[in-house]
Amino acid sequence: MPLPVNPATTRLSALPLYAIGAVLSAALLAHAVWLPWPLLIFLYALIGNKVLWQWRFARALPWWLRVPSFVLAVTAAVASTGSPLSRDGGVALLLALAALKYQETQTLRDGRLLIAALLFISMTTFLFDQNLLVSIYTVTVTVAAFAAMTLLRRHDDVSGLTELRSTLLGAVRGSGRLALAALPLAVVVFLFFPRLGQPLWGAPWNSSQGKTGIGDELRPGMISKLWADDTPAFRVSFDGPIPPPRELYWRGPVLLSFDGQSWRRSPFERLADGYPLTFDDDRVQRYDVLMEATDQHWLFPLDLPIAAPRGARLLSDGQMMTLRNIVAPRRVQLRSASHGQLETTPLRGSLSAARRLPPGNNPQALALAQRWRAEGRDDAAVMAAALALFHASFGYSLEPPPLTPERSVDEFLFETQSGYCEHFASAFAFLMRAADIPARVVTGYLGGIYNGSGNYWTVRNSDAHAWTEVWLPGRGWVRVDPTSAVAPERIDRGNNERALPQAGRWYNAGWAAIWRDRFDVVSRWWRQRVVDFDALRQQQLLTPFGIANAAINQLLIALCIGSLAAVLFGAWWSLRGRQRHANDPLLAAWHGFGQRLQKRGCGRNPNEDPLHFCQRAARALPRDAARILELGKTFTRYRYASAASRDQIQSLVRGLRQFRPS
Amino acid sequence: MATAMARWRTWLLARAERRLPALTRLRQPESLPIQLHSRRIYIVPTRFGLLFALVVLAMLLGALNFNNNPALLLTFVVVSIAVLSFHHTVNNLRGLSLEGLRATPVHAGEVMAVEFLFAEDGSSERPALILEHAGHEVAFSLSPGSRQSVALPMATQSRGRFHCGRLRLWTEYPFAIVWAWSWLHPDQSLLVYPRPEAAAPPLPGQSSDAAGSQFRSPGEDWQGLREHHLGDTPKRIAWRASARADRLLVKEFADPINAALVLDYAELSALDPEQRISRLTRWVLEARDRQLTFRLRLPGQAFGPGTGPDFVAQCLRALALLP
Repeated sequence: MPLPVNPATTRLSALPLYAIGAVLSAALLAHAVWLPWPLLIFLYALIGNKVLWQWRFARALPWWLRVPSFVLAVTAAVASTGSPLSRDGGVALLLALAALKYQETQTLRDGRLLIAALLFISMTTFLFDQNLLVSIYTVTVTVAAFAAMTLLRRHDDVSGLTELRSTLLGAVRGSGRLALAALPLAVVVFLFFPRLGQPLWGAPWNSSQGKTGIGDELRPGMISKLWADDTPAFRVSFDGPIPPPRELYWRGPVLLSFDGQSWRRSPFERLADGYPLTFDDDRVQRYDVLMEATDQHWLFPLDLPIAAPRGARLLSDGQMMTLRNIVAPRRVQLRSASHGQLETTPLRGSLSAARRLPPGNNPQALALAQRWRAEGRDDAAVMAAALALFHASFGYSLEPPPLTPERSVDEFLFETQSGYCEHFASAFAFLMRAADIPARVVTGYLGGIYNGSGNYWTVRNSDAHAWTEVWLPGRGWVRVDPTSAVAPERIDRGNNERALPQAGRWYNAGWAAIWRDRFDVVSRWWRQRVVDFDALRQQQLLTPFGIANAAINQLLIALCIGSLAAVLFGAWWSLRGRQRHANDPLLAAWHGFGQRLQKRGCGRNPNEDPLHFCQRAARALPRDAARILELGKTFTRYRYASAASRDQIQSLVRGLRQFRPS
Repeated sequence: MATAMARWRTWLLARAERRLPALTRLRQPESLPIQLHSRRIYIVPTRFGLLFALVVLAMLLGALNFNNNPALLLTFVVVSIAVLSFHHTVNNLRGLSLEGLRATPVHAGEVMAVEFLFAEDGSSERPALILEHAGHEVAFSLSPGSRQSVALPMATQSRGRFHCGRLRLWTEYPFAIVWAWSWLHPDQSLLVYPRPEAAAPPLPGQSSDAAGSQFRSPGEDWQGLREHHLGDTPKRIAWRASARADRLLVKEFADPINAALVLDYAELSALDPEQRISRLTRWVLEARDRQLTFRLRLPGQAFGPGTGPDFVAQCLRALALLP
């Protein structure tokens, strides 16, 4: 069987072509979340077409199929995702080119090129998401790419399902074992490899584009968009007692200016150089927040925050934001006062903005509030009247009738009377302002899920909430959550799902909840220990060896020693694995038997046949002579003479394994 | 470009072999069996390996630049798998041994299928091995503890002892990122028969009408005694006469046909030695084809009379090994 040398002319057989197609499809799947679906479908069609063509005709695609698909795919990629220099555009183009390359893959060289490209493409998945599931999936795809690489050199076509199965299994098992053996080395290098202080080029692409999250504006429908999103927004672990869920108000943007349609942040926010918070030192919560990447700068401290951590600032209205957008998961330590009072003496000009309403807006609501005032009610009574109104006839609904933006408050109060937190907060704040009580809308999150396995709280995007604050003389800004007047269970449970139509999702069932919690613990570990790993933590790695802040040369020495050890271990482990008789339990048992006899000073000579060996062993160990001879004879008979049944072989395997020289 | 590269590579290899014989193990043929141990297995990245390194470098730079830890970890997993695969590539050769080689002799100028017998030491599966010689490659694989003979075609030039020269056993298994090879230079020689003359005259003393009596068994007419030569069958020794004469004598019988078919080197004095050998070879083959009994006389040696494959092989061997 002479074999051409040149990879450029060696044609790939069908099996490696299909294998590459499978790996390419799997790599593409990881991008399905963000890739525009027409492009995704088109790329899958390209792959499928190639596979069909190979299967049906066993030859290359003709040019009249390749040229149009090239033009189409590149145009579609550029048109639907933007500039090839942006993250999305670049990756989409790369994916399109890989699918096109697959179309014309015929030779060994094409196959290798494509697999090398696939390794890079797998990595680009992490530009979009870095969570545990994505990471596991991506590593799996990479190992599959290596398995496909071992298949490339097969020149003969596989015939029959059994052979196909054993070939594929062999390739997957081989590269899987290699990957396992490689893991210690990878971890050592990961831990000790020097990190860049500054990026070499460009700003890091954010990894959260297109993600929902709380923004600086409250418009009808904004929060309900988040309810579909069950991904964690942040995780919190408390030092000390945990407040009840109904008090877990995670404070986000404070919206002060109302233009008649939507609530926005005030352009006149100031840094809290004299942050007007009075609080009781005894009732301070300390906690640790692990933020997911949001590409925004909001932090969500527990109401009310005391001070900003490093790299963040605190505004006088209790908004906390990082100096730079959170593009990668970030951990902060915070303190909050659960019973603090904010701005008991008003800062100059802050209250007038909180009373302002656009003239002529929502006249019915305005008239209602002014009538309450005219009836001589004080601030507290007006608030009570509004809450009573909500309580009396309003309903909580996730899908309320749509409202006209210009008169949304009037329509909500007098016509539809049904909505969710943002409707109630918006209407309540409007009524208060109409009654000349300073009021503002606060957005953020409410509650969270307690994870018993890891003793921390997970706050998800679906926990998004909006409430109001009113300023009362002598008490400062007081939190009022009008939603509680309508749907107290929404507040008590601290978990909207159970109060809402989507309640009873399968993963809230008992067993699923336990596993979900466990998975979340691992996820959180991944976030904290791997995704968040940085130069600072790297310096602390050698602390157990007495080096507190390791310098770069110490890290490099550790890298060398560690990787040497890991290479030796990996090579030993994976090669040792090859010597096992994985497919032949009888032979494996026989070798174990031989080793046990060797320990008793009766080693097997390589050129000795089993029977002679057993006779010699029987002479050396007279007490076990009968048993040794019997096993040896049976082994010889089953292995070399007659076809033994499966049961017979199994009983012999058991006998060999259980034998111990007395 | 490609040819220039190839030429440059050949030049470089030749130079390296001249300068660094210890490194390239060119020179000394070794006696069989040749066992491959780590020190004689060399390993070098393939062209794909260089591409692979470029891709990994790109991954590394990207991951470092974006401070993307999962991407960095993935990159290191890829690098680690590649590094460990080097061991597997070397291990695919290590412990293998070349136990022997054999070939059915052919005539000079023909292609000889040389079979190399490889043995696996029982440790592991060895897929995708390639034996290479002078541009010919054969792929094979060995299962644990097995032996396998691998045939390579080799062109022969001249009669006599044939040395297969240096062979390369190489593998790129599993990922073709690196290739490992080892030189095999067995000292065992093989036999190449002389090239038969293309247009040789007919067998001496043969006429077409005599062909009918060729199956007559020799030895009907007693002719006399002669001195014993090496190669004479013991049946024909005249024991009594030998005892009287104090030396071995052999009975000679008159056999008109066989007496005529003597292939004698000395009679072809008009030709130069190689031409004589070539012609004798042709005649031997012809006699074999016609199943004639014949004698072959070479300088200092005489064979026959005899017939059959063993006798023919003996004659051809003698012709091949003439100085």
